[in-house]
Amino acid sequence: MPRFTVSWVRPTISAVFVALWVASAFHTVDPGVWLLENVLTFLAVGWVVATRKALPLSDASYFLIAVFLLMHEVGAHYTYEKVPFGFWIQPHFKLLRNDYDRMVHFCFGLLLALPCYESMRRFIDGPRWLILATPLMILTGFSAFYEIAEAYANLVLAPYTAAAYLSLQGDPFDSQNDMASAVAGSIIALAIIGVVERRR
Amino acid sequence: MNGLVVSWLLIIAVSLAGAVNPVVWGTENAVVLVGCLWLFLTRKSRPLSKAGYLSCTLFLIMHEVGAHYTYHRVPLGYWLQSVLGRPRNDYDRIVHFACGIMLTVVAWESFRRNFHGSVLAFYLWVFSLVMWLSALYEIVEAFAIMLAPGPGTIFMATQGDNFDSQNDMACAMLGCCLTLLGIAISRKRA
Repeated sequence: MPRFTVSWVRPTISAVFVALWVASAFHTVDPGVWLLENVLTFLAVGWVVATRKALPLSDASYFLIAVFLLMHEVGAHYTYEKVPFGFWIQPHFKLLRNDYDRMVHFCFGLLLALPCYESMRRFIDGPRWLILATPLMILTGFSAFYEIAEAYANLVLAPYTAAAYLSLQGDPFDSQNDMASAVAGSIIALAIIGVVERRR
Repeated sequence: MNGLVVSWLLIIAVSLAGAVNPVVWGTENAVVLVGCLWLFLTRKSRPLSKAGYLSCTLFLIMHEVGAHYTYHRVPLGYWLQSVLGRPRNDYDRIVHFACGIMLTVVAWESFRRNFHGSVLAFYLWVFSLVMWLSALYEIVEAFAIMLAPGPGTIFMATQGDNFDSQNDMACAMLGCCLTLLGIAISRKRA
């Protein structure tokens, strides 16, 4: 099933990823936040390593996973609402808040659609729309799960409503916008996958 | 099947008669229309068991009660509020929970035959489907409030809960997980 597999690609992706991941842990803005955000990275890396034999993916997928996790590490390093790139684009697009987190939610859908598609399609024996809709469901479903986990973690770790609300940066529809970003990202990626698969 | 259609139409008609807010009733029933359309189109290709249609009927009754009174004014919710000392009318949370159960049953029965290999992949898929639909519902609610602030606010029904959408989705998730657990246990026994 894996396509375009080249022997040096995976070790290179792994080495670069681990080096940058370790680097993100140094001089972080808030070590507690880094650790909290990295719970997700540890789970993701554990999943990818544990399933590399049972659910092998293409090199392209491993590359996309590494890019996504590194984007997340940038957010973990600076804490999401203080990422310099987010501040930099804020005046250009007249944004009310640092939207780096929205970009990462979008990329969650966009970059992880292919790995998700490759993982799941081997289990599905049905119409094409079902195979293509599955990554959308899984990625949006996990976005929803993430929003729930984030809200409850906030309530437990910062019991003061004001502090808990800070991570929303004043957006009352924060969770809906985050999830809609993931939906948009995965629809774009799945449209590309659908077109490429049809041409093949 | 005919009995099912008649009883569903009857439930919807009773709910419409004297509805507290007809605009909100219409919005809530747009969701019902989508669900019924899906069940109608797949009645031959993906038929449900009697238990499946029963769970849809029970959910329809619960949802139509919410649509009739508008969710935040359902009497049962007020009663629970005073008994449990809750800050809001939690009837909507009960229905989100029931929705998680109903969607899990329908998804399981409709798509089981499309999955082979690991059954774990299918558990994950059903869980994702329920969470996906819950997330879509919350997104649509948010759009409704942006387009029509008056009825939209009633439709959204946060009732001052900052984490309303997360709590709603968590209720559906709980319903889904408990149902999947029940399915897993009954499969092991069989």
